[in-house]
Amino acid sequence: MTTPLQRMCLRVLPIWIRHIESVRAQTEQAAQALITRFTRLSETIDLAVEELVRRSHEQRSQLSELLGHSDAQLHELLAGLHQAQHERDATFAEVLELRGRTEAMRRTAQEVITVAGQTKLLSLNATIEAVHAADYGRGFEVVAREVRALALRANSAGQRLGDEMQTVAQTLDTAARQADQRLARDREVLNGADQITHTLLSEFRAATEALAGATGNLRDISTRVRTEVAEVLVALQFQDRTSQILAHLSESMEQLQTLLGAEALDELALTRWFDAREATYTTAEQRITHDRDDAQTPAAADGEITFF
Amino acid sequence: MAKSILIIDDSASMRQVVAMTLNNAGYDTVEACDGEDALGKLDGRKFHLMICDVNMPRLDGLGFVRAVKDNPQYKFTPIVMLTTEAGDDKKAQGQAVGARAWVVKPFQPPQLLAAVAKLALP
Repeated sequence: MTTPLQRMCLRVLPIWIRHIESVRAQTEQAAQALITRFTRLSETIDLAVEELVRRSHEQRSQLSELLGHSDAQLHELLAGLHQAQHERDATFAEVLELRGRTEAMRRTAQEVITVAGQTKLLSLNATIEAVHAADYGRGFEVVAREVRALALRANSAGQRLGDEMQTVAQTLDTAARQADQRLARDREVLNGADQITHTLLSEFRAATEALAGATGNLRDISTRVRTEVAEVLVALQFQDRTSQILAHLSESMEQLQTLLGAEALDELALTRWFDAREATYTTAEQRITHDRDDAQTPAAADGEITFF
Repeated sequence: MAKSILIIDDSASMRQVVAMTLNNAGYDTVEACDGEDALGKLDGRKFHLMICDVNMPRLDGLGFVRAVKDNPQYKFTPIVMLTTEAGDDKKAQGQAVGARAWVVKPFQPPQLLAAVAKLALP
């Protein structure tokens, strides 16, 4: 003869068992779905990062190659400009030397004028002496006249040469001044080109190194994400423990249902069933919960390892 | 070539977590849903180590270890028990049947990997 409480228990226990099994199934499915998604997420991130790192590596290689090529070309260009500068300096030095020689030539022309003047005086004295010699000096007078004429031509030539050398000297002075100003500007431009080239190559090199740094950061992020995902997956182990606890609970309720369904309630069998509960527990928290009457949930034991 | 590890657990989510941990560390994995299923996987291929749950339907972990120790081809393959069972009596049973280590769930990946690295066959 069953009591009303027994009958109610017999009605409600199968329902509770079904609820428990439903919860177990749902958490199992949800945990599996989460694990699958997190695993895929981790794999997708890994693939994306690997692809980015691969592309970045390619770009770095191309940039390094370009940098090396540009470096060589720019330095070759600058070497050519410096060479041209040296050649201009040499030409300028030659112009200055030529300017110095025009001065010497001008002095030579002055000397020619002086000699012509003295020759002229000498020819005048010779003419006077020829006059004193009367008929005997007529031939000598003709020679003295010719010498004076030559002295005058020499004086005129020396004068013209001096004027020409003066003009050449002035022209060379002007050319030298302009060349000096141009060379100063060229040196300034060349120094600027050196500086700009150095700055550009340094910035280019820094950009390449920054790209390498960004690649390293990507790898770090990927590693951190993988670690986070691994920790999430490890945390999802709770499902296995709760599933086992619910399975034991469900099994215990089935046994209780069997005992309550007997024709005569066997109290001794019920006591044995109750006492045997603890022996069926597998987790530490089941045993702790069994002995405690407060509602706090004990923490699960962490993964201790025993080697045999 | 990567070392191969057989994972035996009736919880699909646990098998996934263990497999992911091992795969990320460079191991190959094969999964079985209980002891009976795992015995079917012992078809001559080499396993460098086995990781086995204790409480499983059909054939439990301790029964599986006994069966492996009776198999001449696999008797020297180390077996790590990975279980929620933390009681000393159960651990003693595991040691008695021939398991090499006992890891209590939830496991920490570095600890599990250290055990695997220590025990796996060369």
